[in-house]
Amino acid sequence: MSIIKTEQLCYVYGENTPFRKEAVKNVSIEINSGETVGIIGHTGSGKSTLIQHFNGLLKPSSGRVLVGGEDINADKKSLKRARFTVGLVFQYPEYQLFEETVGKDIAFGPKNMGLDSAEIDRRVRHYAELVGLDAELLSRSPFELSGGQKRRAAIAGVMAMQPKALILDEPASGLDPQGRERIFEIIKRYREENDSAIVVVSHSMEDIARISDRILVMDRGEVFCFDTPPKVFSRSRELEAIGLSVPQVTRIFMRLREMGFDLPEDVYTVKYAAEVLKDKCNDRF
Amino acid sequence: MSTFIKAEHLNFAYVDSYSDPPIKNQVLTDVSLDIQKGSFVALLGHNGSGKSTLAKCFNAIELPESGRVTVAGLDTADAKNLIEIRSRAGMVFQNPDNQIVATIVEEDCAFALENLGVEPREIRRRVDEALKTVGMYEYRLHAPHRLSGGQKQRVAIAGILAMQPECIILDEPTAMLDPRGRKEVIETIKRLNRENGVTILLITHYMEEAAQADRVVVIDGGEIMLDGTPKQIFSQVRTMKNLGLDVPQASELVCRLRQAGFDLPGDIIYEDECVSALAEMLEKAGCPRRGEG
Repeated sequence: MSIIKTEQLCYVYGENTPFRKEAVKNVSIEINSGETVGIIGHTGSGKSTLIQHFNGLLKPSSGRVLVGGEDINADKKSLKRARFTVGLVFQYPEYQLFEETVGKDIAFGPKNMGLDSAEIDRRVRHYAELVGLDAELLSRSPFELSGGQKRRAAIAGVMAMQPKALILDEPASGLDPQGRERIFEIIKRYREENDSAIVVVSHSMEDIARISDRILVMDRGEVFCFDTPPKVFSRSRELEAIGLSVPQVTRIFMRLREMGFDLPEDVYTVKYAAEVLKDKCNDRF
Repeated sequence: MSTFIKAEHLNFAYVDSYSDPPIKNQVLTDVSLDIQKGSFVALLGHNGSGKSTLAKCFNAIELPESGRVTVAGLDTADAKNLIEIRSRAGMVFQNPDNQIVATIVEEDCAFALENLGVEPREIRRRVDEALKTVGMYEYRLHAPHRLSGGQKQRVAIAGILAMQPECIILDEPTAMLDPRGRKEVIETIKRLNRENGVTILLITHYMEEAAQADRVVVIDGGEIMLDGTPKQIFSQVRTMKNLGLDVPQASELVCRLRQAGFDLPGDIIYEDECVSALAEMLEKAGCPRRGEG
């Protein structure tokens, strides 16, 4: 079932100014519950603008955004509902922690939803645990946490609202490989517990390839393609032409194919690449 | 080559003096490292390994608890040397939003030069050149807050370039950039290194970027664990993974195939050599190329 749907969505920045820019053009997509969608596109491709429509932070210049089948910009009530249904984690969310304690910060969203204190407390503990923050940290000031802990606390704060769609803008940027892995594990666990839709915006093709059921590729405000990873990566040359970098291993296979070797087009993980090459060579012996 | 930055038995700890008793968090332990003038060094380590602190010690933002750091022979612990050290070894940080001060791109770029009292005409020339180098000249009259993250970062780099430093220390400068922006920044860094002889110290999580350096230094738990050429470092796939780091996918692919018994060279880390080696392997195994049947 689609949780987020856009119909002919257009957004123009700075209308009637010299900075006028059509950031999003005619985007019609559907995102389903329980699936992980990766959004990729070069700087200025409109991906951040697009996701800000999903919970009504931006209003379409034209077109509609439906959350759970309801036009979120129909009236104030719909908009408020959308804000709780669709959780948005901005880039570098650790800069948005503001409460006295980590616990209060995570509780901020649930409190605004009007939940009772027992439920708020349960959620704070549960999501702190889910993101790997010790209970003892809940009484500390967010400023006492490490950068990685702060980011996870900020993510827990959005998860604590239990949104049916969780949107994250570059959740792993600036983290080392283990830190990235950890963030994606957390997101996966959240999805499994809540059967939510996950939308991850990232510049890292490697990360997107690994976690996504479907990949939305944006180019100059338009949908370039929206398909499964093998389908998307089989268009690697085109992806490079629009300024995206495909995983190194995909590039290696592309070059071997261009040399005339009969290899599959949809290689985007090292593990699969090694399997393919082993099979190819062993077959011949 | 002469030494430009030298760390001798450097120890550093952050002390939380609000706690009682104060909590001491040792970040760097007995680090000794020479960075040669004109070299391109990549510094790797997972979050919390101490690499950013080490970089800050090289720019006199942090001072050693014990041991000594010199930049161009100037001791960072001597306050008199501060301005000279920072103008000879410029620093670019990860988040451009934290380092942009002016409301117009070219004014931001000129900020340091104005503070250093450079002639206005010379400022104009250097700012234009720096902005052209990073590909932001067209945006010189724009407001920084209207730029994308990647564009902002290139402006921050231009601001450092305008000071014409002998060395640039970059702390994950590409973490927020898209692939195109990342490539531009790395190409810029390489060009500055090769053509202008600028010493580069690059902290990065992107192993393909680190592979382009002359030398890779790996730090873990505040100590230097590995130090060598990219080939020496990235061919140690298991060691790197154990340190919580990655290797280029080319290295990992070759490593997996070698483990499966394929005869491939152990020191492949670059894409080109990986493609040639795999092509040779496929040929040997008798895999046909298209058109050869």
